Order: sequence, then C-alpha cells, then structure tokens
Amino acid sequence: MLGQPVGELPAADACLVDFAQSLTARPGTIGPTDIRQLSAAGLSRTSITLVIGLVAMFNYLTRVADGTGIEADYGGELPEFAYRGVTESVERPEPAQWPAVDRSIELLSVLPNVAAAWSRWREYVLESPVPIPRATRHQLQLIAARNACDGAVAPPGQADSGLPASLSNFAEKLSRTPWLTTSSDVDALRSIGMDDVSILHAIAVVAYQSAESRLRIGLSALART
Amino acid sequence: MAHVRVIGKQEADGDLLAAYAAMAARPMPSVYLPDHGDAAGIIRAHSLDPELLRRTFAVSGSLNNDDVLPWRSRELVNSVTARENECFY
Repeated sequence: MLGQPVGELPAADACLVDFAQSLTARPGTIGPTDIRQLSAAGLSRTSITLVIGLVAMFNYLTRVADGTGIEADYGGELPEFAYRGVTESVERPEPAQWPAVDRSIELLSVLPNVAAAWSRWREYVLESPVPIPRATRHQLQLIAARNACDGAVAPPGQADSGLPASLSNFAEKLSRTPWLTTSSDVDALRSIGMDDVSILHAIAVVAYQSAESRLRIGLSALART
Repeated sequence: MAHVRVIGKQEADGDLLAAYAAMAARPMPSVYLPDHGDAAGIIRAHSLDPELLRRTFAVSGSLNNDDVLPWRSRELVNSVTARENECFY
C-alpha cells in the first residue's frame, strides 16, 4: 500500500488518506463535509473519532521527532523515507474563515480508554508548573493553536505577549513547518538559558496543542453532522 | 545526533528504566522494533521526563489498541499524517 498512488487505492482508503492530509495540512478547512465523506466510505462515528485521534496523535509525535532531532530507526521492512524538499506550509485562511471549534473534547468519550489517557496527558503537558511556568506553556499553546486555525484556544486578535523571540520563533516553526526545525533553533533556546528538560517541555506543549487543536476541529465537525 | 539529550536503556536507571521496561512489555508488531535493541527513538526522545513518556505513550497505545479500525487502516492514517508533515516517523 505504501507508495501506491492515491487514485489506485480502494475508495475507503482514499478517503482516509484525504482526511488525514486535510486535517494535518489544512486544519482551517475541515468541516462536516469531510466527515460525511468518511461516513459515506462506511466508517462509523466511533471509527471516525478514532481516525481523528490518530491524526492528532501523529501531529504530536512528528513534532516531537523534529523538535528533538531524533534519527529514523524503524525496521528494515519499510521503504526508506524520502524528503520532498517542501519549504512552506499550506497558507492558512483568515480567522473569520476558521472552522467552528468547540472547547470540549467530550466526543472522545466514545473511546473511554483513549479519553482517560488523553485527559491525563493534557493535564501533565499544559498544567505542570515545572520545568517551564504555566504562563509560558499558555503562550506556546496560543501559537500552536493559531497555526492550527483553532479560534477556541487562540481567539482572533489576541496579542502575543512575553515570550523571548527565540522561543516564540521556535514555537511558530514547530507548529507550522516542523520539518524545518534544526539544531540551531534548539541552540537558540539554550542561549536564553533553557536547559534540555525545559526545551523538551516546550516542544511537548507546542506538539500537544498542535494535536489537540486538530482533535477538537475534527470532533467539532463530527458533532455537526 | 539528537538536538536534545536522550538517555538510552544502557544509561537509564530508576524511574526511566521502569518506564522503558513497561514500554517493552507492550505487545508490538515487529516492524516497530528498531534493529539496535534500544527503545525506539521517539520513545527515547521523551527520556528526560519519564512521566511525560508514560502519559504520552498511554495515549498512543490506547489509540492503536482499539479494535474499531483495522490495523492496516490505522497504519495508513498514521503514515499519511507523518508524510504530510515531512517526517520519517
């Protein structure tokens, strides 16, 4: 299946591909129409909830991989990854065009184990008082949410405040074009006094919010169908 | 070399070693197991904070253990999401 052109995939698989691409790269365009396409392909509401959760989770994991700079180490059965040389992300719509987003992630409760684990994860990433303060976490959260077109967490017009430029720039890049993150970006955080544990938490907050915004955008669209 | 410090199994002790042991005990398709025998890079990326590691992979584990979607469909979604983010993971 890997490497197969989308047009040659079975219809249900092609729908999954299209949805995962859209929620990842074009979160500002997601709405009930995208959910109806998944339903028409035979997915139940519970399955669609799981798909939204998977896309969200991989939006976290890929940002952690890029932010921490780990190297590929998966088994030899998979084809080698080839970078496409993409240097920009898809342009985001104006805030007035952002999708309606509910603050809650209540719909995740159809998958009780996932909902419980997600809640514990969220609390730790967003509410821990150390090694970076909650106020810093909140500012990082706003940057990631804005780049995901999530107006519930990042209301349009809300001004940035307080973050050092190197940390703000890091969060912008990791939110929007994570694959362009380099060791120089991380070194810039060290130059403002952040140690590696603090840097890991900054990465986790940005990556987490990039995931949660996509989760809620997807679930909000599901709730409107 | 990673941008931040990572601690592998050989160096790990205490809480981190316990977290690695718990991760290794999870059922895992062979394709996910790296040849080097250490924890996978994405797990080691969280090694500076074992609690973050535990809570993060509790979510990914619960998402991937749910049987409402076939494994191949879950893998398709995961792979496409990573591809769209230009990430090897």
